[in-house]
Amino acid sequence: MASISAKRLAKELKEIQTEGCPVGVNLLRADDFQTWLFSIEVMGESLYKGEVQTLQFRFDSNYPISSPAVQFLVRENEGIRAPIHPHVYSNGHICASILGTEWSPVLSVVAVCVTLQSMLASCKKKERPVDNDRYVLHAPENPKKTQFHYDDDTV
Amino acid sequence: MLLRQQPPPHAIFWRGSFFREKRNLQFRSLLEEGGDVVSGCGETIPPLELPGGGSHYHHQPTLPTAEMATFLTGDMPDDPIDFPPQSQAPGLRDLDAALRCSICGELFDGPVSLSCGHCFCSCCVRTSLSTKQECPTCRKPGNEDHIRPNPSVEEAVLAWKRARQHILHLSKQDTPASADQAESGRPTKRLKRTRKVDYDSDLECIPGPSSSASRSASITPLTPKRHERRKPVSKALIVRTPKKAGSPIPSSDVEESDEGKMTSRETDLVQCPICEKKVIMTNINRHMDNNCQDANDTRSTKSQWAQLMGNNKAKKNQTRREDNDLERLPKASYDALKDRVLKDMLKEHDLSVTGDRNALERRHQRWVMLYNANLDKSHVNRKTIPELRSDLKLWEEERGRRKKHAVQDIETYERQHKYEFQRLIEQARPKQGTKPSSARDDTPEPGSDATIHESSDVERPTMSL
Repeated sequence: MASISAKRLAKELKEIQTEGCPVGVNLLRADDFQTWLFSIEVMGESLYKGEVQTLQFRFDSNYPISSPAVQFLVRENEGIRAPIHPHVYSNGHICASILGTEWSPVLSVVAVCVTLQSMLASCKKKERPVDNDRYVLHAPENPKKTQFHYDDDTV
Repeated sequence: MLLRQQPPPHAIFWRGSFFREKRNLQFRSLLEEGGDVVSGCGETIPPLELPGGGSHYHHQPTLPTAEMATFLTGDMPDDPIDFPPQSQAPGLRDLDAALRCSICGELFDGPVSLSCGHCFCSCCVRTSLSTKQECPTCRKPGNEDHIRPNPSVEEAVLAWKRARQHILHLSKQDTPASADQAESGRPTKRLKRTRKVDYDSDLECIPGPSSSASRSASITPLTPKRHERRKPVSKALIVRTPKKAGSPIPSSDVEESDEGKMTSRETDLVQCPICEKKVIMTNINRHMDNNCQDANDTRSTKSQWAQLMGNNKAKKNQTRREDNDLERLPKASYDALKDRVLKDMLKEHDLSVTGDRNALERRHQRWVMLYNANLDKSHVNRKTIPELRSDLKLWEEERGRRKKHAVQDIETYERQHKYEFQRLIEQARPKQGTKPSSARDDTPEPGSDATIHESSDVERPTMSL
């Protein structure tokens, strides 16, 4: 018996493969049910026009009850960086409520991709979070271990 | 082509079922028009060759895990997308999706509703509520006390499970000719139009010889027809009601005979193949499951008439009594319990008492959940206690396997992640200041790696992709 998380992820993957991803989102890699990679690109006019970001999902065995660990992939030596955004730290960690306290098991990988895409699309000014340096210095490897404080509900 | 696209709807409002909600997106309509927006893979492309988008990020393909392998070699989970798309079989995917739990994506298993009305598998929503006390779909506050069984949905799921294979078969039978056309994009319209003709005519529901014409008509109208049929309250009503605004000739006779057939089918007496007693059709399964000993075996003709007339009071009372036979288990507040008491509680249900305190608590918690969720099902669908026990065991093994996986093959893990470790060591060095590191400078010993790994991560670390 495959676990619930594997079954659910298999369904999501199957749907992505038959139905395709939303516009601007592409599945890069899903070799197992632990880590998936997506590329996301903001369509239309935005501050991120022409930029393609890589989004990393990590699932634990409690998915979908517990949220996936989602972050932008950062590989300095390969030139992959996190987008500059007031809610995205330079190590790729994202401060978004739906990845933390506001996660709901009815959300899906694709839903998260679209949410983050729209988070980028609605950005007014490209800047790092104010406490970026402090956070990145001591940040845990897994963004789920960070207790974010969500203060901005406009994005 | 891509520039036409607007940014997706605002994110924070993205809620709801992951099967249904997505339909709103533009890409889906484009898909059905045959547009080429989809970067992704068609059904024909094997899952591992991921096309598109990979240009800026290269990776070495890794071997799929065992789980993935089973997923790839058949044993695919059933899904709404097993059915042909909306353009070919209207409503079928939606119907299948509507009968699925939005947490696990499976057909409802013991469906229950919260006070807001949203429906989930009992077990899923109990697990979800234990982490967060709100409805997963609408986020209205909720707790386990709000859970109400939803027997109507349960029946619908049961019926759909029986019908699903058959309908899937029919829809597949129908599509091969049209599937190719649909792929190329244009001729779907023609297909739709011919469908529509069938749709309006009254011939569609009459089971005939399996000529290709009747076969092609047999799928599409199924859902709307059924829906229509369920609405009228009595037969008399049907005769008077004009069938449908769109249909040119009201054909109550077909509808009526159909209706008549259905009611008679539900209440028909059939002979039990074992005891040769006459049993009502709908009760035959339960009758045989109970070794031909019906509880209401000795009922009077009056109650038989009552059953025929749809007055199921007697039956209802009976099920209610059965429900009360089994009390739901109370939740325990584990902090206040001593080990011994906790073990007694487990022993009470013949559960294992091995493992540390945490394991015991988790086991008991899960048991209470499984047990109570089982009681949300109707009596016939319930699992037996031994079955529940083996479910619990499976669940524990699953968890155990995952945990072990993280520490298992240290050597290969170390080899695979050598560069990652080196990078981390490099990073850590300046922070440590002057004091460090004669030990750190050496090539890492297997033991030290294992400790890094164990302490730093819950799942499999994945940095060196």
